[in-house]
Amino acid sequence: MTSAAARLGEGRVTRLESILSRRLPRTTALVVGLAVALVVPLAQSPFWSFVAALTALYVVFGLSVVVLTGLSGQISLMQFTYVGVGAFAAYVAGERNGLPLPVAVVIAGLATVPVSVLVGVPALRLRGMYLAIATLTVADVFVRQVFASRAVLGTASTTGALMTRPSVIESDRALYIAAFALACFASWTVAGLRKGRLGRAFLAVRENDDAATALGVNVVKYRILAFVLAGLYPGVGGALYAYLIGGIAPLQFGFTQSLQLLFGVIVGGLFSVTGAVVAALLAVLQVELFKGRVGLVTMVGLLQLGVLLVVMMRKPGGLVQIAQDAVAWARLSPTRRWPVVVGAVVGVVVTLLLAYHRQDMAARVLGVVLAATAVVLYRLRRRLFWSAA
Amino acid sequence: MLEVRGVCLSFGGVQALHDVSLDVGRHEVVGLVGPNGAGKTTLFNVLSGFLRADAGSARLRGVELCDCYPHERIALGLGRTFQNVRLFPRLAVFENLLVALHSHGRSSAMASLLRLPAARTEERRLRDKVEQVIDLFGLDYYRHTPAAALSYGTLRLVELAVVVALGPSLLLLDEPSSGVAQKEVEALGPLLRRVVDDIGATVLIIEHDIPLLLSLSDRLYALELGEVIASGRPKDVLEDPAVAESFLGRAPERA
Amino acid sequence: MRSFVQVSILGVVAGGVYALLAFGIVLIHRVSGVLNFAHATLAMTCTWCFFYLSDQDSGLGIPTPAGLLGTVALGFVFGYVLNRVLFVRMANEAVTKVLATLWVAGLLAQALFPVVQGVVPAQLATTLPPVNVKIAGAGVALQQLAVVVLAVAVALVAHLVLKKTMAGVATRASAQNAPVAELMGVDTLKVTSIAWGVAVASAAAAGALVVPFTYLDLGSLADSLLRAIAASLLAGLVDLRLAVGAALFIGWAEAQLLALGPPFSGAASLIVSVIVLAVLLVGPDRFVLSRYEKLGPA
Repeated sequence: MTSAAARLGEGRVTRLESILSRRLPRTTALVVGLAVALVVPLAQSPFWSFVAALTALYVVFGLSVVVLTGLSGQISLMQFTYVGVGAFAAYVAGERNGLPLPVAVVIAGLATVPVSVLVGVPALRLRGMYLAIATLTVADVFVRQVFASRAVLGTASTTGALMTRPSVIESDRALYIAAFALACFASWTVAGLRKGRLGRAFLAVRENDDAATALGVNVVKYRILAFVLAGLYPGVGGALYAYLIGGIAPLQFGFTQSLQLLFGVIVGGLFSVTGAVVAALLAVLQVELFKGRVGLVTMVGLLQLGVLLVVMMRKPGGLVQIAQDAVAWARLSPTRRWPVVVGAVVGVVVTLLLAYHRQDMAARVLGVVLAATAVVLYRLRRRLFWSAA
Repeated sequence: MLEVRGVCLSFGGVQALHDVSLDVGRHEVVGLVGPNGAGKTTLFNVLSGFLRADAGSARLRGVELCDCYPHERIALGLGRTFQNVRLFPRLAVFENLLVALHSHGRSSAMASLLRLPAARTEERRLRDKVEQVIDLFGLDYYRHTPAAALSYGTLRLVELAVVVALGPSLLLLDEPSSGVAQKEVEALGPLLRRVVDDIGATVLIIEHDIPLLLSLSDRLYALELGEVIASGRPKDVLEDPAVAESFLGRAPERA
Repeated sequence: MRSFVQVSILGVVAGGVYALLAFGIVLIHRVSGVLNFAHATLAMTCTWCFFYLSDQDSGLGIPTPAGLLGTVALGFVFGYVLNRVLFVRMANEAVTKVLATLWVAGLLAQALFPVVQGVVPAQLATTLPPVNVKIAGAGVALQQLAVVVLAVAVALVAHLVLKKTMAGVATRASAQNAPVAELMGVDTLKVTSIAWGVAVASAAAAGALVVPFTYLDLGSLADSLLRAIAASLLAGLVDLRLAVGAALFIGWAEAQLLALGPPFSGAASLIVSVIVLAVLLVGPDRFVLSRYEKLGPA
């Protein structure tokens, strides 16, 4: 821990100056990127709008994990339960009672608040593992009892409650615009959170709640606030999600989905908005784009789990941190190291493309070879790059 | 500033504090000495709210502390350092200091979330204040270093800076020199003096380092086994035979 | 209509599986300070291996007693390697350990899912002779009874070993403060890995013994895990004997609920969930007798 932290400290003294010189290009890059992300799917067939809308919503769900687990340090296995709360609230409000879309969405968000408070208050006494058990149990109860109850489902069956879209978001394209706007707003608030007083309070409570109390930070308030915030985002997103997929069932919002979301964000990067975006892209890749190709899905899943292992052991900041560290590493000895980094990325992409187009079996073998190569390279890194170390 | 009267606390069968009373006046630096287990840190814990006294009272500027939660006592102007340094390991020094200023900020969660102008102005103000503290303590080189990466001496310095940044009126310092190298201890005295003069703080300090105490404190209290056994001017207290025996060791036997 | 006693017997017998799982969970918690969310999945994986080894049609067709022993050995190796490779490196990070167990569960589920789908092991012969024992009029297979007996025996033996033998003391020392134990000459790596091995082996045994009587599916897996977790929590995550007792009790209670018919029969999972939440709220350490050592950074 100390050596990693020391390495972190070294490069940062001149960070302030370099931020200023990088800010303008970064902002323009961000704006351009957003514009592209908005326009490209809209220009294609509605299928791509659907996929893009799903990605945008997953970004919103992932952001809740960033806030609760990344910033506030509380591990929750019920984030997708909030999605379910939002979805079914929208179903009850919008579908069964015919309320207009904005009202349904607001109700969906508000419906998560009593849940998050109810969970957040006892959660004050629970840390880490116990909180995981508690949220897992609550998620289970919701799937079995709450979502499947007569009160919520009404006359619909437990295998699917249908949602008809209001005219304003009738087309996939329109829905995508709404989802995109939500994702942008959510990302903007979370990004601001990290730099502001509220985010700092979350971080302080996460790092050392005794010290935080000693400094006058109300640990109770901020722990619960983190829960509430982390319920609101998936709640509102859940409403749009329900309209997007058109049919919702209790089993879609269980602990397994929450776990996949959590793992996805951990792999992507638990501490930043970018991490949530990466997680969303990976999730959609698996769920929609590789749908039906079991071998490929399994391979991507195993790859993701492999990265997760690396992340858990060494790089808690996920792929975002891996990328940052790789770039920093390459910079130290550009001619020798950049090829390695680029080669690794290209290798992964090529394997996935091969798996997509060719026999799953052949691709699997290739994947294993690549993984083995990576492990061997890693073990021999000191010898290979001795002089550059 | 601080009036402690008759504080008693026992753990199980052990009497940790027995009828402890002391006074600290404004802008005074008062030292607290005693052997290990005398109850000094326990007293601090009672004052800062981590332990509840069985009996007695502690008033800070007339307000009864024992009725307040720990974070409320911070708002009242109480600041404290710990024997085991409590900072935020993965946050940079700059951020650690910003957290200390948290209670100085008034913007609501919503304002912070939506980046309203009021929140942004306040943020700038807080950052300026942190700069002042960094200057006072000479921590510029470490501003972006995570707390976990600091050497022990710098760590204690940062911890002191964090407590000072709080802007407390009463500073409770728990052995600020323990584990710190000699040279840095010698710098600690003038630094604390500067802190007291610059921000007008009152200090109650637990210490084992006698020269530091002598140079710094206006008065001393000596504690042993939970009771105050001596108080008064530093020289007088240190020469008190009871104190000498309990804390400083007995004078060598004459041959 | 079965009598109360008959229902009770059947319930306790059903609880045998939960008991073996709970035993493993508590043992792992005592050694590593983490609740092994992957425990049921590990049991499932080993059970599938048992099926692969012993099934006449689609497996290797090895005679079931040998297959059973192989499975238990495999479980031991699984647990040993898991600890050695993974958990021993996460000594101080509680959250990472939790994530690691979830990761193992995820990994196994991901790898197993396509394979296990729809496998019906009803054809598997029982290891012990398929004799039905009649207790108070309720017919119970000898093997099912064996599960209960095994659970109780293993818990008692492990408890005594941990308490009275040098190996047990070494294990407990490694759990509480590994660096210091190392300095005293304890091979913490080996000792903790052995404990893990025993835990997973017992889970494997549970799965393999029960498999002729149930289906192999992920849904019942989750249910069993929940009940095992509830039993472990009731034992404060430290008392091995209490964990087995609580699990048998849960099995018993569940049977009673089922016998009452709807609406009670559907409420079993809900009640177990409520138990879990209640224990968590009260605080699992309240359920521990004070003479147990407080565990490390869990």
